[in-house]
Amino acid sequence: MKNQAAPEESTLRMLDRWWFGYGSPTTLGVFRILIGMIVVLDLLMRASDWQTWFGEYGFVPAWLGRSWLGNVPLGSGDFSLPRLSLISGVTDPRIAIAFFALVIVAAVTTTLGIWTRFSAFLLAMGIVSLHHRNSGVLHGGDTALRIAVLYLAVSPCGRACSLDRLIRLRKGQETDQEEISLWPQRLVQFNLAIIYFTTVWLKFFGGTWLNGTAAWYPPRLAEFKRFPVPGFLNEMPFVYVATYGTLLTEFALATLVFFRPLRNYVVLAGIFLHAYIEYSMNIPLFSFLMISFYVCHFQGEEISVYAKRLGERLRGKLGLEVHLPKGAKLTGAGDRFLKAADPLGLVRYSASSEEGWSADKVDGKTANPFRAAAFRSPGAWIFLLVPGLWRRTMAGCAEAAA
Amino acid sequence: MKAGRSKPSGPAQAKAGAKTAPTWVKILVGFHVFATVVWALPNLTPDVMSGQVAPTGTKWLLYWNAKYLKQLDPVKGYMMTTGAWQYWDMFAPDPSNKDWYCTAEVEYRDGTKRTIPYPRMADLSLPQKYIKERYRKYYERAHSDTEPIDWPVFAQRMALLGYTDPNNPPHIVRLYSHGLPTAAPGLKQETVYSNDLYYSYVVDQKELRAAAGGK
Repeated sequence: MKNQAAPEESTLRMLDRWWFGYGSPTTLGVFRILIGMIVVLDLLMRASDWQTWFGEYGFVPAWLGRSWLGNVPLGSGDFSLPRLSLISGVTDPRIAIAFFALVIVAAVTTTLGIWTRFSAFLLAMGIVSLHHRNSGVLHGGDTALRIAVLYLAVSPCGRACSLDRLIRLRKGQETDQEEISLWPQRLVQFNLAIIYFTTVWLKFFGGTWLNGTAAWYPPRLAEFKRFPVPGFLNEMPFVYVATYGTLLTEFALATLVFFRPLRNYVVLAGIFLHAYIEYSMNIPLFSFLMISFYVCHFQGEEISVYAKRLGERLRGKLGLEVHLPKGAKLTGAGDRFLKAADPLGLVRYSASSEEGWSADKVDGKTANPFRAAAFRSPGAWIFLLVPGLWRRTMAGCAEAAA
Repeated sequence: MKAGRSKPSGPAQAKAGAKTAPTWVKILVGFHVFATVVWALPNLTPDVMSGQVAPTGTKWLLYWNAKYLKQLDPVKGYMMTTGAWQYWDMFAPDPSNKDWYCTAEVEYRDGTKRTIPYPRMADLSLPQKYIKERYRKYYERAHSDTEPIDWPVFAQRMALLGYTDPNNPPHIVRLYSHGLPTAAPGLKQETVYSNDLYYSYVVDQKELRAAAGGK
């Protein structure tokens, strides 16, 4: 397959192929897992103050939430549309709590990739409803999170890195990794660029970003402080470096990141920027969320290659050879299932003359084949929640040779 | 598809000869992209939007966008109802230069007074402040002069938090905001927070009793 566009191809055609062409769904699968985990954490953190933010006797009763984000007037105002919310007008705490719990369940199932289409849709409805119920506590990260789950809801994000796919493989319903139209991934990339571009634009309206002193202020706000940083980082001239460095990095994340030769450097700069924010400032989950978006700048094929390369490095220490019982071999579906469950490729399955299952580690020591294979196969971890399930599943991947 | 080191990532590297999504998907995605750009472009200050100050440079574009494109019903209806609304002003146009926190003085029926703390990030442990940060965020809004509708609800909640004895319930709540601006580089930094009473509220006893029942 060629990597370069045909010379005669117009720019429009090229953009069409970039936005709507087909490719590996792995990126969206990884994005789904990252976003799902952040949503779970976010909801659990909110759960401790649930009554405060969503209860009728909290700071934001339902009527107040509606007064902030009520119906959307259209035209001359004679007609209005309601905002999407599954808990609009709900004042009974039992219903509201049950809804909140349902959204947490949807976040978990989305992360794991169980009934992914439905789970992601329900999660998006839930997050939008919660945000419309109380918008007073939302920061930029929450908005980015809501956008992310909306994109997941309209994407086939369960086609890769999901329990759904493992089940399909195990049942023989899927053989090769199906390609998907990449427009949901492109939307994430585009939206990330919009985030950085518009914030840089807005910063040009402020005096402190232009005179280089913007980075002076946030570290001095006691309400934002987190871990300590060396004093010189918050003094001149480093403040100038931090201010203009932030502007440059954000601008690059909106533009240069799409230029392949610079992409990795720009992404690294963005990770550094957000890692510093996460370390020094108390803005929960914001940096993790933004960095999670960066994964969409990488093609699914690239991520698979990165995983294999990482696996090659780890194989020297974690490699495992599982010996099938005498006369047994992996079925086609079983082989595909076990490979998909082990994206790093740490486990090798081979025939043997022994009666039962066995496994050898790289240091020559023997190991429990089921436990050791599960430890090395992230796709197996969820199976471990049910005692004996992984053992049965793994054993079911092999059949006696004819 | 076989994985490789030099797979495409930008428009210029999009592969040729491959199939693309159906036209209806392209139309929907195109509309979403248009609406998102229109909605996320920076807003201008009220003096520019009201015509008191003439927009200059790129602000003309933003003025035109805010005055016309953001008002289009399909754009407004789509962005605001579906949850796709977004606006990005993190640390912009200038980062905040003021610390805020809140205290509530609750006066009970017998005339005694007690200060009810509202979680202040600077006083919390590292794990706690990570979990409770929304209190800081909410107070940013809740004490704003443009949001007086929030004040009675806020005060009523603080009364509930100070409610301990049914025979001596909170009667009046006074909300105080404490602020400390950060001095610009080279200027002397003040260290004392302000102590401004911005709202006094007579507690709704009926609601307090109902709320205390389900506290």
